[in-house]
Amino acid sequence: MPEPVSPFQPLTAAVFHVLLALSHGERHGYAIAKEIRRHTGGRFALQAGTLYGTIQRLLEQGLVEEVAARAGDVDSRRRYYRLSRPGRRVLAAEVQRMDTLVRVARARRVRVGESTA
Amino acid sequence: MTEWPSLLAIGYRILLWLYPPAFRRTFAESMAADFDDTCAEARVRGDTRAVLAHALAATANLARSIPWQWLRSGVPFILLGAAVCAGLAISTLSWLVPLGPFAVAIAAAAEDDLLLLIMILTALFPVLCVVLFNWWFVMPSLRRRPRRRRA
Repeated sequence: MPEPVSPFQPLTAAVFHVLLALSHGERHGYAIAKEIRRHTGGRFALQAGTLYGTIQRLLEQGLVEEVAARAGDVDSRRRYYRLSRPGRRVLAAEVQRMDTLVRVARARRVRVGESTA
Repeated sequence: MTEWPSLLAIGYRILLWLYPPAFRRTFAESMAADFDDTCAEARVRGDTRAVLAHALAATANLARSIPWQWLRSGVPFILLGAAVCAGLAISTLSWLVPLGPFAVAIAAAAEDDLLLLIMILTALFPVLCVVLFNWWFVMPSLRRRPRRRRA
């Protein structure tokens, strides 16, 4: 079992999805929310209050950093964020932790869509 | 005449003012921009119900998020501390000044000690308030926003 990257693990769903959305480059808040809806097929959506509260915590913890806005951006109100090195490490560790859990579940023959009834 | 989606946007911006100042300065503009873009996308699709559903969901989310941000800001604890200090000061005064229902008997020997304690607290309380409020207002501004990149 991989060692947890204390004190962040296990990540909450909101934190995990935000870090995952930022793993492919810098994005502003609205793009993060859209990316989360896209990669979860619309099953998980973050409203603005929760999204920016999560970003605020991640900024304080140093897992995410703010970057300068793009020159061609039409909306000056946008702030851009990207993963920091510790953020990338925490995300990788969390993915590894989840992967281990999935492998354990598969070894026990738990199948996706199985009914418990 | 103002259209109702604009009224929703105005209402949302008013609600954003309920956030603690530090959070509002950092994120309120982005949140307002997100709200505008989501509503605009729904309007382009001609989906009026989606605009209303989004406005309701966003407002419900603010109702949870705003109290949480105030708790994180520490202001309720400062207010609680101030209330405790005020309560202590009032009970001490009521001990010193025998007035009506607050009259409390006090030994003559203890009066000087009590007076000294009140003087020290009176001097320390404003200093403590100034330090706390300066810290609360100054800390967010120390986290500077990066400058815009040149084209």
